[in-house]
Amino acid sequence: MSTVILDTITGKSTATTITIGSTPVVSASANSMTIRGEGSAQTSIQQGLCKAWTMSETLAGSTTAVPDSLNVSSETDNGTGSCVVNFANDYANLGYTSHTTAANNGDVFNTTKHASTVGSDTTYLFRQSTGAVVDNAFSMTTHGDLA
Amino acid sequence: MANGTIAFDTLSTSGQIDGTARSIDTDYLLMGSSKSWALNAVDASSDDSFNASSGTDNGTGDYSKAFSNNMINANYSAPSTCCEDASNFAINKARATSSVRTMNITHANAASDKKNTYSVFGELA
Repeated sequence: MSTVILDTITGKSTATTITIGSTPVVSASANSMTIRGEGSAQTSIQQGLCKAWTMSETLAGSTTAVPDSLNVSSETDNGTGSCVVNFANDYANLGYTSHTTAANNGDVFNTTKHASTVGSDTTYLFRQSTGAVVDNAFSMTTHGDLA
Repeated sequence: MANGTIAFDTLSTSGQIDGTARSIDTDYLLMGSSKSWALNAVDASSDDSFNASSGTDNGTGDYSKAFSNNMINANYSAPSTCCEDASNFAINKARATSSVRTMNITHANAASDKKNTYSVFGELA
């Protein structure tokens, strides 16, 4: 077995592929990058990555956090306690996960992945005590397979 | 033919998404990527999933999902969210190295049969 030690591998074009055996480990192909986990199991980098996240203040109320996002093209105020997060690159199907947590408020909120399309996810925020919808800042992360 | 291995510490991009080139220590890729996720149906099956095998319906709104590859310990994080209904939320009810358990609850503290999602972050066995 040989060992190559170097700092940088640079492809000749933007469509560079690194192949070991018959398996492309870095390429433009789907699910092409697999890495060994902390133990002996293998895990897919692509499927494990968060494909979209946002720290949203679209529903107003809070200005203490600086909004930032990944793969979010726009957000729409969908009425009290409801926000539509539109993805820049869509998901392949509706089976993606979505986790939303209310921010910057001492009250307790419920959050739901209420209505989803491959191109957007609509979240609702509620007061725990009454179940009433309420506007608030929130953070969202989503995991799934991109189209 | 078995796959080989490339060892590297830093991953750099040319910024094809937004024009900003970035680099990241690969420890963040390994430790920060989700090791399992699923959108659970009301019968505990998966609408879609990653590193998840069978589901168990433990009762109203109470689902367990087995991993294909187990976690190294039960100290992983597993944010969970109820889907498609107002004023319900999901809790991460239990964690084991081989499965994760979630449960939907209404604001009135009643179990609720709804879809939910989870994502697991931690270390694989």
